[in-house]
Amino acid sequence: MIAALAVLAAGAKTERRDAGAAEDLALVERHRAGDPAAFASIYRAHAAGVHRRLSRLLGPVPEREDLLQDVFLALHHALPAFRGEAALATLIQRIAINKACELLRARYRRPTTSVDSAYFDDIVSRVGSPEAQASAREELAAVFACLARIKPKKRVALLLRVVEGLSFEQIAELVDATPETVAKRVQYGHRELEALLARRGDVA
Amino acid sequence: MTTEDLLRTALTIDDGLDDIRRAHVWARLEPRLANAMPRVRARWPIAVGVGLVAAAAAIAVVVRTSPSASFVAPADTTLSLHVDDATRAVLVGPAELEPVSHSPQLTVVRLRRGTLLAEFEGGHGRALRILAPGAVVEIVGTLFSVEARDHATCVSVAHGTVKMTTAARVQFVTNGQRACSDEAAPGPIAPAIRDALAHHEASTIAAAPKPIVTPIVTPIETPVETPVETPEPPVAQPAIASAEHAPAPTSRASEHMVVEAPIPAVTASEPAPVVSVMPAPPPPRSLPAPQSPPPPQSPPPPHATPTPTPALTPDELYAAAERALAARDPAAADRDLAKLVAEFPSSNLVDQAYYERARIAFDRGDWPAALHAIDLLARIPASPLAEPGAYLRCRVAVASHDGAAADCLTDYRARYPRSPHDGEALGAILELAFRAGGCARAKPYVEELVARYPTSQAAASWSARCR
Repeated sequence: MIAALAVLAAGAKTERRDAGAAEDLALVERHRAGDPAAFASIYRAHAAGVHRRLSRLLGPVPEREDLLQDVFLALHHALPAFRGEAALATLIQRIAINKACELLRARYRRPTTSVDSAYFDDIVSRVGSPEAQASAREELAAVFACLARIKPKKRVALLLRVVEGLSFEQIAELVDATPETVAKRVQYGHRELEALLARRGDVA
Repeated sequence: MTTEDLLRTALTIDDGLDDIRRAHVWARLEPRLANAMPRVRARWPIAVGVGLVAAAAAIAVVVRTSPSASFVAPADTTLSLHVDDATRAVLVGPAELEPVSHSPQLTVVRLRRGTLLAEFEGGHGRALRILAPGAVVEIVGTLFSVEARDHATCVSVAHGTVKMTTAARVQFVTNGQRACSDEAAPGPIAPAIRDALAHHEASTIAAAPKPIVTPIVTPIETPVETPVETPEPPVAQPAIASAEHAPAPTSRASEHMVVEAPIPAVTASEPAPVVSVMPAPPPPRSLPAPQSPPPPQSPPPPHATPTPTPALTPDELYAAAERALAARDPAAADRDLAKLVAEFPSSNLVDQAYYERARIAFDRGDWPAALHAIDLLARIPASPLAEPGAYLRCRVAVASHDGAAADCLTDYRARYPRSPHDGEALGAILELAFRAGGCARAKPYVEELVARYPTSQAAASWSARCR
């Protein structure tokens, strides 16, 4: 029974991917044919997904909107060579992850406080008592500070796994690595984060 | 809370992109895309060719191979073009214009350098887009000029409204205004440009077979910026053999025996020609002396109306409206937004203000006010908020039990495929179909919902109900 449900679920996913991918390919063809509205449609279809991905890899940094632009500018350059081997959505997400990695590498070399503390206020205001808010704020600050100390590749693999819930195979497709490599990155990233959080006094 | 839970909470709580932010990013991205557009795109469906003028003036036409089709007007010449059947344009040399793409809805050209005077009779659903250094200029119907300098572009508008998008902002240039991509605010139109536009408007160029680009080259009689001295005229040269005499559509054209020739079509596989027109000497004495420009058919456009010095800038008004919305005071927000559109009609925040006003009116159930704001938003050419505005119009139709709501949603989905609201729109169509005819009527939409959005809650609930 479970196997049958799994097959059904896989079928539904494939169908959805096929429908979306076919529409994306049609838009790419229109774009190549010179239809200026086609790229706007591609942007409309994928902007929210790219923004979500960037947010989940980088946190609420102010550069997200600039990176969103950069992703679609890079896509615009890449489309003439796009042959449809992978889905357009995959190509876009790969570009988004590359752009996020570029920013993370720059940040890793020159660590800064990248997350606006007002963002913490927004989150902790949803927590009950002032004590709980103070505690949540401290934890959030520690998590972001620790994440900033993890190497970009490990951080990306870890967050794609933990926050997005992707499989090692799915992550591997997005970051151009083998599933085994991804598994190691996730494992080491997780270990490093836990260790850093355990020593949060040193980090802060 | 575990570390993983904390990560999930911290990184997903603010990962959404609302319509206004999405539109904002697009408004900044679009000029970057325009400037990054590949130079070779030989899919211009309009035929390209050679037209020339000779009789009084000796004009040589040189056709050379190039990766893209361009129209080049050398110094001291003008090149008249029918860019499409709605656009009469004159390139004032030295200038270069390249057709980029053409469809019934949109014609795109790139002004590489020089000045373009144009009158565009847009109409519903048609627009002209000009890609220029540092700016994208969009027109739905107006008399205007675009000057492309090395790293900046200036737009002057005699009448109508032109949208100019730069990396820094989007601004609307209206009657009698001139705006430059490297200047903060529009100023009054320069008298020379105003006169040239009036002259251009007064000139009537015979309609070319559409959609053929027909260049008509004439020496400049009334210099737009720098006067040209008239040396001794050379002996008149004969017209080039294959050219045909065009009907003398304008006094200026007839004086110079304007010759038009259809331009052969260019396909993607062929190298496209660049039409370069050599500088034209002045007309021989045997021809009537150039007359002064004919008087404009309509009174000259007014100079830019001075904007009253406001207490708040558009940005401040918009920020105040946002604060009011955050404080759950939509009435105060609406007042600020109304003030913004009234006092700063050419601000780049006007379309956002209309959209926000429409949403505020929608939230309070004031359908006429919502539709009015959406109508005003729809009049702004190529606004990135056109799509969310169109969707909001359909939501108003649904909420007000308008019988055309399903058609509105269907049109919206066709017009904006893969939009972020597509799933909601499909769900709304489904709901309307179900109300009208139960599962029998709703079933095709349920099938589509399940196929497209299989993991959505709506797909699960409608499947359970109607499948």
